[in-house]
Order: sequence, then structure tokens, then C-alpha cells
Amino acid sequence: MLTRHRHLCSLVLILSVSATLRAEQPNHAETASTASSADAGKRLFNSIGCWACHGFNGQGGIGGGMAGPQIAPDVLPRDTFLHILRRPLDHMPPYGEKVLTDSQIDDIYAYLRSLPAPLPAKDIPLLMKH
Amino acid sequence: MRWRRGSGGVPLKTGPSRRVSRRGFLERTVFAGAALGLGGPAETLAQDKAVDGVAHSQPSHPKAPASAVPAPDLAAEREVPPAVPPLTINRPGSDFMVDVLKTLDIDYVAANPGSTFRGLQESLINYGRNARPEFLTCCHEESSVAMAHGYFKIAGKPMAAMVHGTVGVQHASMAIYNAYADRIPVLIISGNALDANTRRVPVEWDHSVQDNAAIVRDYTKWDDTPVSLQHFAESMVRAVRLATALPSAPVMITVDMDLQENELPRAEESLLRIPKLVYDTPPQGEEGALKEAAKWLVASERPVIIADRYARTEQAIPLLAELAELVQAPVIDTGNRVNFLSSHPLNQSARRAELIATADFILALEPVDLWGMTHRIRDVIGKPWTSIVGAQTKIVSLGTGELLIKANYQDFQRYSSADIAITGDPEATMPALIDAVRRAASTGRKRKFEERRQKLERDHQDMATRTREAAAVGWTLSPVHPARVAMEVWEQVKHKDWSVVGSQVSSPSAWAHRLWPMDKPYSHTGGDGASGVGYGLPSAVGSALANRDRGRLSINFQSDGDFMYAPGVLWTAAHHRIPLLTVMFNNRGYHQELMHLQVMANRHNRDIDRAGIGTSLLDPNLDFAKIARGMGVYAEGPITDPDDLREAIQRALAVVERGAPALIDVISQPR
Repeated sequence: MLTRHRHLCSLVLILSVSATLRAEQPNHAETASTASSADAGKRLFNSIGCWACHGFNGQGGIGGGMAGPQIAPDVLPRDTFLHILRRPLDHMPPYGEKVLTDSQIDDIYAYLRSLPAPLPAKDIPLLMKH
Repeated sequence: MRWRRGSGGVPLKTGPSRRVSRRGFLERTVFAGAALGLGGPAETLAQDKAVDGVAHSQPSHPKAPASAVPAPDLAAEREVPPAVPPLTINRPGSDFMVDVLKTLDIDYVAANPGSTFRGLQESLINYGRNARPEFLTCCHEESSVAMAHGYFKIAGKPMAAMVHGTVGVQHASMAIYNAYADRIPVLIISGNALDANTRRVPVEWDHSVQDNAAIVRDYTKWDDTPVSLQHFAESMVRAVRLATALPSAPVMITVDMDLQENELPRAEESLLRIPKLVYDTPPQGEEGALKEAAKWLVASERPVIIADRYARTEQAIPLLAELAELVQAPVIDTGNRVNFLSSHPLNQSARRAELIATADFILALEPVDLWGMTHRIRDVIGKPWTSIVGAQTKIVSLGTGELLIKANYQDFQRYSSADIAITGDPEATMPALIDAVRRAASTGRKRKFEERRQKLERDHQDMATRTREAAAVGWTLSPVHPARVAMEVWEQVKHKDWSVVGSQVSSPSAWAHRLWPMDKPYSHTGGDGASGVGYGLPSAVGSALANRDRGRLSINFQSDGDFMYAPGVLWTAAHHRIPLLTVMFNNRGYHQELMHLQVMANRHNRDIDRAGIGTSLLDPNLDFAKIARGMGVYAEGPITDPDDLREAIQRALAVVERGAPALIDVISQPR
């Protein structure tokens, strides 16, 4: 229960930041270098543990223990994103420069921005019938 | 009259009575014959009896033959094949133990067979005709106890688990701790060979112990080791009464092998009495304290009711709804029990943090962790913590938690005191509290309450919309998103009488809790107590057993790590025809622990890509469908495409509705 409570606190805080500082949607005419960066970012995302709390597509998770909020495809502004990785607010572990460079963070950022928008709930009959 | 076990396990009647019955005559004949022929134990036995009148089965030193049998009879024995000690008895003590069990309204005994209770097991299946209680074959004592734990959550009455002496108790201990921490009654019966003089070597010594309950005494409510059958009868009745009295908890009775296996003489049986089982009424909160709490609740501008382990019976939900509606107060259901209708507009569980932080009055019903409800502790260096409630916030707790606290295990959580701490069962107290609130509520306040309701209704709708949007985010993903799994199952069961069983506090069932209407006392089975992994699958089978007897469909969203602790319980489900749909949440790892390791690597600023070592269940991947099929369970999977779910669920449900378990292995997103 304690961990669930902490998680909720964390979720509220991070989502609040997300709501106020939300970035523009990604430009779909990505350059080749951006695509390359996104590929590298995907590899990093799946190797350094981002997926564990936020899901393979950044969709977030829930549960009684630990889980991270949704972080894609609506992505925080880049500077905010970097700040949260370096000096997280609560449950998020800190990613210092020794283990993750700014360039690598940019790659992860590019990956998250490259993810397609999910289906809206209203277009999913199984959800709306509920 | 005293009874002792002689050489070869023969009961010998000793003491003042010396009337020679046919059986007694034969016994003496046998021992005397043995003494003459071999000069062994019976020789010494007879000598010892001559000295102190008590039979001893172990020779201390050779002595001259001393026969209690007349010589002519001995001569006659030589004319016919040598007689042997009586090899059978008509009425073992364990038969009487079954008589006792049958008075206790126990429908099932779950057990992995063990020789320390072989007498009682034989009496259960033959003398008791294997009915009420019925013997359920388990593959692990942890499964037996967890099944009993899950069974109570649906049946509302205890089930028994029988465990082998020493080794079985050790296997069972984690499940006992979960049940204790969850305040669930389980009747544990364990065998033991108390008398060193009659233990077989060597294993019976390994499985014997001076104090069998010692290793679980920290997390059982009471235990006893009866030394007579009358003692057994009284202790069993006391055990069930204490286990079910609030706060409920497991109890343990150790049954001696000799007490089980020795013959119960008719003369002694006529003196035995089985006490009547009377269940204790639940304690009710004190009237004056309730009046004060009611005044605060009525006067509050931002009240919150937190229901934790509140609900015990089907009366709990309507009573809480009546209280909440009287003042239009939001209710936070922690999920430890089915406390409140999830579809009720006053159910604001998803707004927990926000509501508690802004509350001016909190009523906590059977709170397990009041400190945790009202504080925040960060998992960073130094573990700083702060209160999340205002300094002026009034807090009232109503529960029985303080009535059962032991020192060693720390499941009682961090100390926290309410402004008024009312000792009493909140469900039993609810009518009096409702009455007090009704008296305290003025007409002017009722208008205010109605305004509050309108806002809360809007908030409830907003929460539902946000939940659907969150579920949509991962709808098409592969590995499959757990929200998709929950809704694909829902589509197939929504018109059935269903019950979500097993572990309720982790990711696998979390989406069902958010998206399904949890409005019946059996909609889910609540928390697991102490978060001891390995509870989910066996408790699901136990709950499914109780649901089977009520014609209800059981659904278990099952994590992979928990499954692997004692998967043999799936065989138990197949063997005993326990219908249960298990949908695997297979994220191929001990995922929470993976995240903990990630936190540590980040904190230590090194090698953040190695958290999978020791926490992953990869290479080889577990094939849960194959494991299940190997235990006689219908199974499909692994499924990675969410579009394959619907038909797989339909096929599995068809099996379950024919009365058997079925499993679908779904490769899932991590959380």
C-alpha cells in the first residue's frame, strides 16, 4: 500500500509537469539523422531500463508496486525531459552523466517523439461499450 | 486405565484392572511366547511390569524369562502357527478426530500427504467417507495453506490445511504468514511423533519436534498440542472459534501420531464430549466515540472515507454506501477487500492522493497502515518522509487492528495515532455510526452535501474517461498490454456471474480493477496480506473451489514469477475438477525486483544496463501452456498478438464452463 501511495504521488507530480510543459507534437517530416537517432534511442530505451517502468512504447504502467507514467507519444519539452532524467522528482531513478550522456538522452527523446499516436479510446468499441 | 505402546506398536493395557479379556489374553500369550523363543524385548517387558506395573518396550538388560501366561497355554501355542500381535484395531483415535472435524463445518482439508498424519488421513477418507471434509491433494504445503486463504475469501468460513510435522510446517510457513497478515482464518492441522519411544528411525526422528508450532507462532493466533482425545476435541473447537473471532488469523493444532493411531477403547469413548462451536460476535465501537466522530464527519467540508480491510460480509457494501450518501462523502477503496461499489459516483479511489491531501476529516475503516495513508516516504537516499495531510485534519480510525499485534514480525506498520481511535469492527459498528450521523446532520448541511455529490459525480465520470484513454494507449501493442487483456476477457464474461481471484495488488489484475465493475462482495478477493510471492496461483485455486460450489466463474490474472513458486497447484485444480480461467501476465521476469535493481544501479551511477541479471525469466523462455498441459490443464499460448486473444479466451472459457481449469499464456508488456 505504501508503495502504491508513493507511486500515485509520483504520478500526479510528473503528470502535472507534463500537462504544463507539454511539447509540440513531433514533426513527421523527420530527417534521416533524426530517424537514425530514434533507432539508437530505441536501443537505449530497451537496454538501460526505461522500458521497465514506462513500457516498451512509453505507454506507462500501473500496479501495486512500482510503475512509471505515460511518456509517449506526448513528450515533455526536451529541456524538461533532460532535467527529469538528471534530477528526478520522486520514484524515477537518477540518470547521471556518467551513465547516460546528453547525446544519448537526445536519442531516447527522438525515439519517443517518433512513436505513432495511439488509437483514441472513442475508436475502440471494446472500451466504449464498457 | 493407562495405555502404552508395546513392542511392535501393540497397545498394552496397564494399571489396576487385571480382568483378562480375549484380546488381553492373546497379547500376553504372544509376548510370553516371544520371550521364550527369543529372549528379546518381551522378556524384559514382563520383568519391568513385575517391577513397576508399567509396560516398557525397550529392554535395558537381559533377565530371566518371566511369563504371565500359564504353562499349558504356552504348550498349546506350540501346536499351532505362532500367533502374532493384533495387527488391526477397530476404532483408532483418528476416527474420533474426524467426528470432531465434522462438527466444525469444515468442507475441505487441503494437504500434501505426510506420514505424521497418516492415521488421520486414513480416517478422513474411509471412516469419514471423504466428505465434509473432503481431502484435496496438494503438491506443496504452501499451496495447501494459500488455497485455504483464498477459499475463505469467497466462502467466508475456514478451510483446513493439513501439514507434515516439521518439514511440512516449514513449507507452509510463508503462506501462513500471508494469511496472518491478511487477518484470514485458516485451520492448520499438523502431525508429530511426540513420544521418542515410539518413533521409527530415522525419518520419523527428522520429522518430529518438541514444539511443532514454534516456527509459526509469531504469525498464528493460537496453537495447541493435545495429549488426549478429549483435549483434542476441546482444542479444535477453541481453535476454530479463536481463528474466526475478530481479528481473524490462522491457528494450528498439532496431532500426535500415537493419539491418532492407538485404539480408542469403548469405555473411554463413552466419556468423550465434543464441545459446541459458538462463534464470537464482532466487537462494536463505543457509543460516545461514535457520536463525536459523527459530528466531525457531518461538519467536515472535505471529508474522505478510506475503506481498507473493512468488508467482511455482503452487508458491508450497502452499509458503507448508506453512510457515504448521508453526507455525500467520497470513498477511497484500497482494494484490500471489496469495500464499495466501483460504479458508485462516490467511489473516488483513483483520486486517493489528491483527496487525502486536501481532506479536513478522514474516517479510516479497518486501516492496515494509517501512517502510510497519511504520509509520503520517498525511495531516495535517506528515505525522507512528510505528512500529506493538513495539520488541522481530523482523523478517526475504526478497526480491530490493535487487538492482534505481536512483536517480532512488523506487519503492524509504522505507528500512527488518529485523533479518535475507535476499537471495534467497522462493519458491525456501521449501523450505530449511521444512526449517529443521521442524528447529527441538520437540514442546512444536507443542502451542502447535495452540492458535494454533484461535483463528485462529475469527478467520477472524468476518472472513467481518463481510465479508458489510458487503456487505449497500449491497445495494439505487442507484447500485449494488460488493459487489452482485461477488456478482451471482459467482453467474454460480462454477462456471466464472475469473480476475479488470486493476487489483486499487482499489475495483472490492476486493469480489471480499473475497468470492470467491482460491485459484488465476490467481484475480487482483495489483498494477499504480506506480499509473499507465491500466493496468487494457489489462492486462486482455493477461491475457485469456493466459487465452484456456488456456480460462479473464477478468473485469475496470473503473474509469471508467482506462478513458478508452486505451479503444482494447477494439477490440484485439474485433479479435483476446479474450474478456473488463468490468464498469464507473462512479462518474463521478476519485474518489480528488476526495477528495484535498476534504481540501485542508477543510484550507484554504474552499469544501468545490467538490471536483468538475476531478475529476468529468459533463456529459456518459460512455456506456461506446456507446463499447464503437463498437469492436465487445457492451455493455449504463448500469445503475442492481441488480436489472437478473443478466440483463445472463448475456447478456454468453454473448457472452464465444462468444469475444468484452463490457462492462456499471454506475453505482456512489463507493467
